[in-house]
Amino acid sequence: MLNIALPKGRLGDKVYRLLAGAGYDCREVFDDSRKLVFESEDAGVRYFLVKPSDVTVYVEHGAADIGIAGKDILLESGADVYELLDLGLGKCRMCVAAKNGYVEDPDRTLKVATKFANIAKRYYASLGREIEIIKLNGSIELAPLLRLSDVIVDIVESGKTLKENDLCVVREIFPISARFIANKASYKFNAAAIDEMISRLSAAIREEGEA
Amino acid sequence: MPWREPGFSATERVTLKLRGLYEQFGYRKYHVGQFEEYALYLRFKSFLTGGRILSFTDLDGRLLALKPDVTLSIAKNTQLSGGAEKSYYIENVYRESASTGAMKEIRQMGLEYLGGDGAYAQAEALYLARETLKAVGPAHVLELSHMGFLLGLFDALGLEGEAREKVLSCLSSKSAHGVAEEARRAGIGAAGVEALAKLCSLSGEFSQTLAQARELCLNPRMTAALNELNQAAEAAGVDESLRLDFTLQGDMEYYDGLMMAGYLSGAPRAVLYGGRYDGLMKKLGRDACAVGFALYLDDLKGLPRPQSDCDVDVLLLAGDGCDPAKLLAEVRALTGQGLRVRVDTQPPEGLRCGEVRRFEGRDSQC
Repeated sequence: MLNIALPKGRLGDKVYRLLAGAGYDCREVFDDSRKLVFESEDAGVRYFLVKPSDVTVYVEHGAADIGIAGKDILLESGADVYELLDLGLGKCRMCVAAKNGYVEDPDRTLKVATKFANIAKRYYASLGREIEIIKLNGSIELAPLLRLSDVIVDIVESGKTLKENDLCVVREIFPISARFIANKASYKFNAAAIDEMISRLSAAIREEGEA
Repeated sequence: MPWREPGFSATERVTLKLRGLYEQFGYRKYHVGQFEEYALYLRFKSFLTGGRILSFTDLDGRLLALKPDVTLSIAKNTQLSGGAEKSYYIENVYRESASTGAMKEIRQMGLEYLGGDGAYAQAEALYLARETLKAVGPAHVLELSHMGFLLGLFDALGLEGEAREKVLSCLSSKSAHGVAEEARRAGIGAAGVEALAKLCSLSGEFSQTLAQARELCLNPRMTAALNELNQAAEAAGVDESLRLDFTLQGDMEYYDGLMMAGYLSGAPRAVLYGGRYDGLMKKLGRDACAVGFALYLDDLKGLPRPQSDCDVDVLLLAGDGCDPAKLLAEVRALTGQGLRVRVDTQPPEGLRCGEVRRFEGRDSQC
């Protein structure tokens, strides 16, 4: 039985549909929205619906054998897991954004508002830039507008929210997409089942892309 | 009076068993002090994975550190006199925990084989690593790799510096797409990118994976690494628990030849790491082969253990004023029957008892 941590929300729904189509169906997943664990003995899978940012935690600690997590979550958590496949779903970008017309003063410590403190720290360390992190948990776009920060480091999908708030992308840090991850120890004991799932899932994604 | 065997935890059971095993193979117990000169770790910082080291100033002004690693101390302090020095240890090390970002005390049990014949040493270490895993649990996997194979491939492809580090990092997460991306960024050609990405899937049953790895050999260094792996594995005995995985990376940076990691069913991460570290010895000014491994004892605590139904077999409730001599005689009579007995004035909260008896002076009744 493979334990799978699925992120709640659109990405999780999409990945579940692909997995179900590939033979890992568990009918009750969408039947009862309050249930968090769903099991299908026939398909040999047990799904957990968890907060997207917690998927890596479940997988790294072995509570789930595999999971689906965004590259942003993987890099922020630094989880020691296998990243076996880039699903190419949920594509977006991790970017530095600022108010339109913002000009950086290299003589000052840069104030960076973000949910992704580790990613921001690593990125600016690689540039040798001194920064002050302002950790926020939501509505990051507000920070430069209220002069709480000079820039923000956040996920940008279409750029619409930035545009509506008079902000723009200053720099792209890395592209993001959903990844198929596995617990390192679980993989040693379930490699055949996990590899089989990856191969079926890849085929389902390819088919969907071609359709 | 026959003593009943206590309900050993996995850690206790394994520690006892392994001491016997290691001593049978001629290893002597080695105790290292809790502290080392901080300068030692500063000098070998590049060999140690993880960042921070707990340091403090001793009363005489020397800067000391709580040791983050035992191997380094043994490699530095062991006297080598031509032959081999074989030591085993059960020690605490202090490292930064990646998950909590706080310092953590970690209990390790391991062995080091310094000097002597390198080929034999690593075959024996490999054999004992597998016996170590077997002693803990029946479902285990011992995974092998060889840095010479990876570095040989990097050399052949001209992958150097920061790009090499980035590819190694992607390899450790088996991210074939990440490896390909980094290799392309470093200007590696299509065939090279393909070879590097292939490393991610180069894992599985030992002999089969070894044959696949041979197809990737581009220089004598890679071939020599595979030959060395094969020699050690053949000597120790190849079975289904022995695997090859070239994405394996050790818990410390000093492994520069054969590397191994041990996994147990039910443990979320590798519980054993080890390998060959001749380069570290060289840097210490010693021309000798070195190989060893460590078992992370704390990680065994999470493994399922046989659960006893109760904490004591008999709870003997004795009121105030009981004759202590008679009470002790009663306890001794019961323990003499092999029972676990606890005396108390009232049932303690949370204690699981097989049965409760009331002791009243001379007589005892159920």
